[in-house]
Parts: sequence; structure tokens; C-alpha cells
Amino acid sequence: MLRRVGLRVLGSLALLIVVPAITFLIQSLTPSNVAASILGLGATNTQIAALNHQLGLDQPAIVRYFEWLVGSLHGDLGNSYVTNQAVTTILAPRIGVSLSLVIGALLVFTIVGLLLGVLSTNQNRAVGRIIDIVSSAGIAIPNFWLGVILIGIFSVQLNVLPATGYVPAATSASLWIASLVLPVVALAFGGITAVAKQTRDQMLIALDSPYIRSLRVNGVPDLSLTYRHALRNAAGPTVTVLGLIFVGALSGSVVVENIFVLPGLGSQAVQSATQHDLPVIQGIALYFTIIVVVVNVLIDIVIPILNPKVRAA
Amino acid sequence: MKSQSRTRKLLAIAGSASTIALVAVALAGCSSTSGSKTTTLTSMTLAAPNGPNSLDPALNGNGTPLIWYTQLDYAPLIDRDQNGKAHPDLATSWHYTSDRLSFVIELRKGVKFSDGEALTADSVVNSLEYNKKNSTFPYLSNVSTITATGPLEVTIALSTPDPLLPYGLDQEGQEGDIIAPEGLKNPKLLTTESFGAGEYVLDTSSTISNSAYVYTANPKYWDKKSVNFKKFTIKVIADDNSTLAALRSGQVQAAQINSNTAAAGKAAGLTLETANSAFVGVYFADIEGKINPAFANVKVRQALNLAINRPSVTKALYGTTATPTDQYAAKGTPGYVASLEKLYAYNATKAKALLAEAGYANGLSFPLLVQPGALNQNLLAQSMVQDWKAIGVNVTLTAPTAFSDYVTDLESGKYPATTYNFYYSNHLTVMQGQFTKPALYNFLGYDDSKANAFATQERSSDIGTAANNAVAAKFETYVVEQALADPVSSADTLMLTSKTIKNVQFSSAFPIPDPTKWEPAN
Repeated sequence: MLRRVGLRVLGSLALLIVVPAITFLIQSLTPSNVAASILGLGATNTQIAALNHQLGLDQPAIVRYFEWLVGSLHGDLGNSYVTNQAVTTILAPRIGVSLSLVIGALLVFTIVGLLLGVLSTNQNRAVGRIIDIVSSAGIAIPNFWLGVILIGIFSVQLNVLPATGYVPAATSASLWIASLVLPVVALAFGGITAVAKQTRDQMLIALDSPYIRSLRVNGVPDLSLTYRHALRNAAGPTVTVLGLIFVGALSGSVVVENIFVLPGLGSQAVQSATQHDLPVIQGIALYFTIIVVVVNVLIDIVIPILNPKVRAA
Repeated sequence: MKSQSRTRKLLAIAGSASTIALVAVALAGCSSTSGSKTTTLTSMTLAAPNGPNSLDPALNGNGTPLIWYTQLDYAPLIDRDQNGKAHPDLATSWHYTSDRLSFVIELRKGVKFSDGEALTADSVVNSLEYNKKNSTFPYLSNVSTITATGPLEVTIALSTPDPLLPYGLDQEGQEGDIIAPEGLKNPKLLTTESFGAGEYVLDTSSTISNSAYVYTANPKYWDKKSVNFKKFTIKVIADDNSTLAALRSGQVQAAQINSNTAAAGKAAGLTLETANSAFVGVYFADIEGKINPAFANVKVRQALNLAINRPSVTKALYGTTATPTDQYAAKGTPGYVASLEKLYAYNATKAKALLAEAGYANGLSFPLLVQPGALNQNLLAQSMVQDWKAIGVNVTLTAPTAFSDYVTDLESGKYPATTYNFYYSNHLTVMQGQFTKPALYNFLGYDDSKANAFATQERSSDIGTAANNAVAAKFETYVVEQALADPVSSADTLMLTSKTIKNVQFSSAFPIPDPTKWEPAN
């Protein structure tokens, strides 16, 4: 297993090079004049040329990319074209926000999704069908729409949860959770239903398999059958799906952060993209890639633990 | 069956625990969100749709919301009130010399920058020099030298008479936002820290760029009693619905909003402040016909004006928050000529006839660039395209989503015209922003000698005098008759505020809501 994880980590390192390189290439090919857009309509050509020189934008793209690459290997992701702040300084307070949001969503759609999936197999067909319908609806409902509805109910009408903003955990644990409840629900909702549906389908297959029937005939209690045997078997494909849903949640966080005005990586990505602030966009692409790589490696570790057949292979 | 029952019990326990936790969190959240509604406000939060271009006052751009980010921590030399009247700020008095080629400023004694350094004539000279070199505003373009003529006296020498200096040096013009010597030593720091002498100072440890800009009361400010809040936060909220929700839930006390959100906010019990603030329409940059020769013909430009059904477009896009107009001066302000309002009353037949007279009986085509951002310009462009199509003019739209892309497109030399909105100011500023060479919007650099001559004439007397107003009316008549652009609507700036603050007022004479003047309501 260690070899498998080791190979996966090595493969992932290539991603850390490739994704920022593609991001740089796309941004470089996009027609833009950063200095002109920073200085606005009234800027003279001299002012624009001076700012382009100051930002290093008069250098060829390949030179700028390698400068960035060398810097990033030393932990220096460059400075924002717009604010002149170090990219690491800009992103430092935002990474915690985004991680709180996506990890919160991961926990919610995993726990609630698994519970609903298992529950639906234990109940009668009607409950299963209801969960099926709700699952389909959950996948169809866009998280930005759900976010607006949640704000309308819980923030504006009931005034029990904040409509916007983020409170760091270090400031107040309860306010931190309060600021995350609605965004996490909005982001996790589609994931809950997807996990529930996947779990239910896998559980039905597992519960119908010959070894479960044998165990049942031998008097193994239903609870043990469900959680110790069937769920463990069904969990492998579900965990794989969790990884995909997590990556989806990461991109969904861009929208959710904007709706709930959370100062995370996603909202910064939107702002920086509109300003063609390439160093910041590069930094965000790198951070997102690292998060995806870590999650994929964790999944590679978890699946063999859950499923001995994979471990043996 | 027994095990199924146990499963349900476990789920019930888990569900109950989750509910209790959620209620506890909700109550904690409740105490924080509703707290701002009860006591006297000491901490103010303003929502802005986007972050600053830069925190360097010379590079931050103009108009709201950009101006707010530097208005809080940089005091101007001259303060302008909501009616457009000038008052002392860092300068206690100012005057032009008799030849109108020098402008003398007397500075306030005892003023300190937020870093504790004293304001001197030298520091003002250096700051004005920095702004002259780096700012993209035109106010210091006629300045030849800036000299300290006393410990607290500065003299600005002009190459040609220019009555706009008191406007350039106020909080809207921003050229008079004085920067401390420490900031000028290392201008890179201006993009991340405060070096002003204003009411507030940027709290860099609490500020998250493009998200929340936190300012605290400046302990060194020269007039502490006029600082109304201990903390002032500008929160960047791009989404209109989120802005409204934040206002309604008490997280935010003020926000500039669009006409779509205004009615919902008012219905929710928020206060709506409005003032006729800007006109919106289409700017013709290709007056010399470099891209499309048709634009060089005044009859074509007049036809394009006559083809627009202004009352219909205005009502459809802005409801009651705008009025139709074909002028560049706000109604009732110097330069406004009532008789010009009917010059381009909707008349498609006359428009077609004018096109035929100009040699375009079969119509014409051109690309139009749509400015992103304020005042529904995308919908405005689409409405105008429909009206123009009715007279045989086919227009293709390019609508970049980001302002940076818009600037790039503007400079590409492909577009003879763009939609735009222009904030009202004194008449000369509005004219010099459009029709002279150079001008903010004159991106193809056309040279209209008559417009330049009118501008020179308007510069020869003080703004607001009878002589100046008379020239302004003639200048306005000329540019409207020549159809140098195609204004459509005169729109209001709309601010929604909670009942916890007051004095959020502005007017056509000075349409920039000034957050340093806002006060707690009780």
C-alpha cells in the first residue's frame, strides 16, 4: 500500500507543475493590458509603459513564468499586480476560510449522506423512493439559489444566523460555526443527496449479495449485517465518489463564497481573474491543486483500509 | 426488527444532538447579528460592490465606490459639502492671484499625519508633485511649478488659467489628498498602508484585501470631535442580493445599490437616499471618422440621437430613478439649457431622412463597446441597438465583463463608440472629460477646435460666476447641437441605509456620498 501511495504522491507532484503552467499559459494568451486597467481611462502611454516595466510585464512570458517557478520553489509566489502585496500574504488569511468551508461541507455530505443512504435501505420502499426523489432534486438545485433562499429564511426573516461574513475560530468558536452553517449547508446539499444515493445503491447491491444472505441465515444481527459487513463493502465506491464530490465542492465554493461574502480563495479568484492579476491567480491555482492532491492521496489510503480486496491487489 | 429499532434510536439521538447544536450556534449567531440594531452605533459598515483599484490615493480611480477607500484615511486640502460648497480642510484658505496664473494655499497649523509627523508646506509640495506625476486625473495638468512659499504656504503656478484647481484639490478631485513624507519615501507601501492625515487610519492587521477594509479612528486627526465612528469597515459584496440581505439583517448600515434593489430595500424599511448624479448614454469617439467615416458627419450623429426613444428606454431600464435627457449638465445646474431637451425628441422618420441626406440612405453598421458596471449599460445598449435598427443602423455589441478588459478593448482602436456613464460635477469638468483634447473619454484623440476654444473660454473665469455660467450654456448648446455623444438618461445615485445612521446625503452639485460625514442616528 505504501508503494501505491508513494507512486500517487509522485504523480501528484507533476500536477503541481502542470496546473499552474496551464493557468499561466491561458492567462498569458488572454488579451489584456494590466497596467492600463490598473491606471484607468485617463492614463498616459508613458504612465502605462512605466507601470508595465515596474510590474515586469515588458519581459517575455517564458521569462516571467520561470521567474515565478523558481520563486515558488523558494516559497515566494510573487506580488499582486494590483495591490503589490505578496501573494502568500493575500492568500494566508483566505486559505483557512476555504478549508473551513469545504471540509465542513465534506463532513456534512459524508455523514448525513451515509446516514440517509443506509436509512433508506433499512426502511420500506416508499422511504427509499422519497430519498431517491430528494436526491435528484438535491443534485438539480444550484447552490447559489439555495444560498439565497437560506439567507432569506435564516438571516433576514428569522435573524438567527449571519447573512454574510466570516468570523475566525480564534476570535469566537461559536460565531465561527454560526458564520459557516448556511454556506456549508448550501455547498453540501448537492453532495448529501449524491452520497445518499450512491450509498443506497451500493448498500442494496451489498445486502443482496450471497455472503450477506449466508450471514443472515447464520443468525448475524441486522445491525451488524448493515454496518459491519454491507456498509464496509459499499463504502469503497462511495469514498471514491466522495473525492469527486469534494472536487466539485471546491469549485462550488467559488460561488458560495461570493453569495455569503466569505473571504476565501474562491472570492479572491473571481476578483483576481477580472483584474488579470496573474500572480494571485497562479497562487490560487497552486493552492487548489495542493488541496485536490491531498484529498486524492487520503482517498487512496482510505479505500484499501475499508476494502481488503483492494489492499490485496 | 429489534436492530432496525436500535438504528432508528441511534439516528434519533444523532438528529436531536445535531438540532441542539444548531440551535445553540444559531443563538450565538443571533446575538452577534442583531446587536447592531440596538445601541448607538460606534462601528459602521458600508458595503461596496468591488474593492479598490489601489490604496494609493493617486492611483485609486474616481467615483464611488473606489473613492471611499482613500477618502477615509486621506484628508484633502479642500472639503466640499453635499451642496457643492467648498470649506477649509487641510487648507484654511486659498485664492488665485490677479493674473490667475498662481494659486496660493494657506495650510492649517498643528495638523499631523497618522504616523505623527507634522504637516508642512514642504510635505504638501512633495505630495502634490507625486500626485501630478502619478495620478491619472487631469486637474494638475496645467500646473507648471509647486513651491513652498512659507512654512505653511504653498503656491501653485499655472501655465494657463484654470479655475478647476479648487475642485481638483477637494475630496472628489483627490489631487489634494496629502500623503505623508514616509509614504512618499517608499510609494510601494502606499498600496498596503495609510499615510494620510484623514479621520481614519487603515487597520492592516484586520484588513483582508478585496474582502474587508477596516479603518479605525485616527488618534492624530486634527479635529477629533468630527470623527463619528471608532471603526469604519468597507465590506466588498459583489452580489446585490447578498448586499440587501446584509442590510436587512443589520450586518451592514449603508450600501450603494442599483434601481432593481432600491424598491425591495425601501419596502423592507430601509432608508433610500437619492440624487440625480450621472448621465448614461453612448460616447462617439470617432468624430474624425478614423474607424467609420460616417461618424464625421454631424447629420449621422444627429440621426443616431433622434432615433432613440429616450422616455421609453429610461422608464424601462430605470423606472422612476432616472429621467430622459439629451444633455450633459444636470437639470437646474450651470450649463443646463432647458430648450435643448426637445432637440432630439424621438423621431425615426426625421432620423432616416438625415441619414439619407448624409449619404447613408441604406443605413450603416458599426461595433459598439459596452462599458461593464454601473447603470445597466448592457440593457441600455440592447435597447439603443433596437431603436437604431429601426432606422437601418446595424450595431454589433461587445460587452466585456471586467473593466480591465473594457479598457483593453477601448485601446484596441476597433471601436468608434462606447456606452458610458459620467458623474455630474461642475460643467467644465464634465466637458473636459469628454470633448476636449485630451479628455478622459476621448480615446481616439479627436481634436474639435471649437470645443477646445469653449473650454479655454470657460477656464478664464471662476466656476459658478455669471460669466462662467453663460459660457457653460453656450458650450453645452454647441456639443448637444453637434451631437458629439448620445446621452439617454439622467440617473440617480441610490444609497440604502439603516435607521442607525444619518446624514447620508448628496446632490447633483456633489453626487459623491462622503462617508466621513455620516453620523450615528442616536
